[in-house]
Amino acid sequence: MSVVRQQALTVVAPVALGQEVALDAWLRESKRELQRALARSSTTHFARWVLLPPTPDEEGRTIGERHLMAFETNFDGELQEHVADLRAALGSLLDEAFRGVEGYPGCDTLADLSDFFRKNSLRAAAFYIAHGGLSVPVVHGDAALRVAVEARLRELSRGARVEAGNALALAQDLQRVALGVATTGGLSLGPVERGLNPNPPGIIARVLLYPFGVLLAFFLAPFFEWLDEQKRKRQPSFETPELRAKRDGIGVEEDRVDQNGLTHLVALKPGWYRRFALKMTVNIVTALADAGALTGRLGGIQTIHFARWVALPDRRLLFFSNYDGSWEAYLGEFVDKAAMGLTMIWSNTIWYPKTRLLLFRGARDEESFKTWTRAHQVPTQVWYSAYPFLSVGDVLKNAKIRELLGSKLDAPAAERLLALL
Amino acid sequence: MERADVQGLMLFAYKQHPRSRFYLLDFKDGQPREWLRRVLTDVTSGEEDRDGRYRFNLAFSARGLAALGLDEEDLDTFQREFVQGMAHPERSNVLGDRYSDDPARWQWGNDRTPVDAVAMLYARTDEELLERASDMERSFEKFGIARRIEDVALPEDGREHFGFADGLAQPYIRGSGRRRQPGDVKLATGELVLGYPNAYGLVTTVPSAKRRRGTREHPELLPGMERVSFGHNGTYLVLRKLAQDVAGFWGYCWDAAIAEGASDVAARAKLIAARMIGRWPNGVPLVEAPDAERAPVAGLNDFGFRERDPDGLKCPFGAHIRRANPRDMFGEDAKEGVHDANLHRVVRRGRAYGPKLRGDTPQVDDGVERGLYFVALNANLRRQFEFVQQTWINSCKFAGLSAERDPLVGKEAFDFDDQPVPRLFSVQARPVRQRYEGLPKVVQVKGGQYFFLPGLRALNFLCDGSD
Repeated sequence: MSVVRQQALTVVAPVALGQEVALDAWLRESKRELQRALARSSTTHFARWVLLPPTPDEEGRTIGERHLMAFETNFDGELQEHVADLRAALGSLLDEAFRGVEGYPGCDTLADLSDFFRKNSLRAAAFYIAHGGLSVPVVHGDAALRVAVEARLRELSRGARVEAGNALALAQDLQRVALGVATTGGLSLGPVERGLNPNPPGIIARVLLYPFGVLLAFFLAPFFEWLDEQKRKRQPSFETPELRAKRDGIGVEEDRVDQNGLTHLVALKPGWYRRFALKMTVNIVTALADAGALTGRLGGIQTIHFARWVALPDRRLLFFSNYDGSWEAYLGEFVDKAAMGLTMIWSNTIWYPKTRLLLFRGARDEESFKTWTRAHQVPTQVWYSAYPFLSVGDVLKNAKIRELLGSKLDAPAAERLLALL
Repeated sequence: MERADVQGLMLFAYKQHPRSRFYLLDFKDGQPREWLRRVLTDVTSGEEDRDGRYRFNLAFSARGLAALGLDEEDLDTFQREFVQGMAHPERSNVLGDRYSDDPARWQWGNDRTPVDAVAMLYARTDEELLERASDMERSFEKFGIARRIEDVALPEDGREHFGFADGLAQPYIRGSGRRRQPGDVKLATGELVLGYPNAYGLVTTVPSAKRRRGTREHPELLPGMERVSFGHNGTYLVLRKLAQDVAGFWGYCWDAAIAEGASDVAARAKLIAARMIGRWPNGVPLVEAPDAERAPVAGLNDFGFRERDPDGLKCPFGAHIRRANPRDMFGEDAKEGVHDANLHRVVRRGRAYGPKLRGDTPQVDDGVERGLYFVALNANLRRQFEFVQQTWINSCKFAGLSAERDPLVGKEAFDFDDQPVPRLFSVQARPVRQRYEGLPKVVQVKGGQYFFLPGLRALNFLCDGSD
């Protein structure tokens, strides 16, 4: 079986002036309808529509005259097929969801639609996948197998303990049930080729690609950090009433299911250095992300399904994340486990907590970092997950169960299988 | 820590004062400032008077502070969670207060029955409590303050309504001057008291208020500003009234024991209950005595999970004590695990309300409401109290589990189409886990609010100023 790769699609296009209010209202109203329609798509892991408002730069000047529509997905396979799949799943809803977006051609012809998506898509600066190689149908199939096996256990237990002295006999019983379900449901047991690079280029290798660049970025850091410090003295707070009002809208939409989506938008600091430093540090973080994809962990965090940074042409940095559990737990893990990686990237954006050498402090300043993150979050109009009740841990565990169910069980394998349930 | 400026509740559980009355106050059109002046000298500080017959502490909701003259700019310096209040929809999402726990159904704490302050009076005996209470209640009347009375107590046998020893795991606060019990983890002062370095070694923003004139001693001025450091030596106080369905809990365990065909149903029911809690009724943790209750040998807070029970075979992963405090479970090693868990601790000062339902395994309800007045103190509502509720107690994904919440205090689950999802509890075992289904929801939230427990100088400050 061939490897199914996961990719990110980020379409960003301006909304005609004055249209953003109606679009915002329609998207919010039609959230459930869009989610239901997307559930018919077989290539979409996560998706969202979010209107990016004009935001202030460091001097308080507004970046962007118009709202930008950002439509993003994490998808399986090739873009062409994904767009076709989206068009089939969403139909005319697509036209409503892009009403007023500049250059949107309508969904009548696939070629025009693909062309629009391709032309307006931005490459991710850094992209992380927790369960690479596991397509949406595989994740769903694994979950269905798990349900069937758990149901069988329930049947055997009749509300009490499962009376089974023999782990192997029990596991083989479950295997028979799974085989039946797999045959009727067209699911496959056994391993799936995930196409993960077992030896991703390490940090050293990445850094060596740009030996001078990375060195220069760090060498110059103290000077620019000193400049930031002077600026901070002149204007100590980034809090504005607008930021606060916006922040209030985010929390009500959070924590409805076991996962959350986060959209974050912040301007780069002015000048060439920050753009250059970002380019260098993104390489290092990409190496960390590649290494993490093997274990489903990003810098010790195992709650992120997909995450990425996208640099907008107007000098703003966009961050999308799809994570398990609460905002507080997620941000806490940032602070406790991944502070350096995040600081390397976000230290180049405005009002980020004070850093040392691009790496130190920053996100370690817990209160300031959380306040800063929240302040630059953008309310997401529509957020979709193909498996809103599965954590990264569930997805990986279900895949392991499927592999064991497809293998020839001996006593140790049987015990391993049963321990996973 | 300035023990003379913090309120006594910060440091003491008042075990010598087991009888108590909580007043939930609504200032309405009364004179809260005059009332506060009247009771100010009664407030117990951290330098406890050892012979005192009473203890008295006071905390205010955001609405209460506003009534005492803090303006919007002042309130903005407090944690957002506090300003929003516990009944705010955003907080309900985080705390899981939906469906049967929806604030709209609460007895108090929602918009219908707002609470401005909680006044907590503690005494050694019922007689002494009533004597002081009548004084107190006269003062409310005099100054036009409406109150709701809640009688609460430390149970004589130290066991909460379900019949389990409670309040065993308390952190030790650096600088508190209290004796550290074996197994108590050390917490930075700033995890409990505002104005001191927290677990990250950082001093976080202390709530502040516009300077006032007055003859009493106020909190210090912030350097270069016309504001006082109002929150210094204060902390946030979480109050939740939690009704317990004792008969429902034991009835379920009893039925489950029968369904399993146990020969000694009572013993099996007790084991099932102990697995849900993670301790035996006498407080002995299951990691030390997995099969039967026995007398405690070591300190009841002196254990970890990682070494003794890595697979949850003694104490199930979903047990209440693991969810409330995972100790060393997570992280790369035990040290990291404890360090991470310590970012989310609270100091508990809860007391029980309502009469005990009698019997060893009481399964027949008497129709009387009983439960716990949960009180927790912490410097960061979001990172401490709310985190424990959301990420540990009420998370379906705790410790690699998939679809269950805390068997005691976990919320109802509903799927995407608002269909109820059966409540489960797994007991890890070999060859395969056992699973309990259809657990009743035995704890209901009846009311709740976030309060601020100011230092004594901050209370002085609230008394002063123009009326």
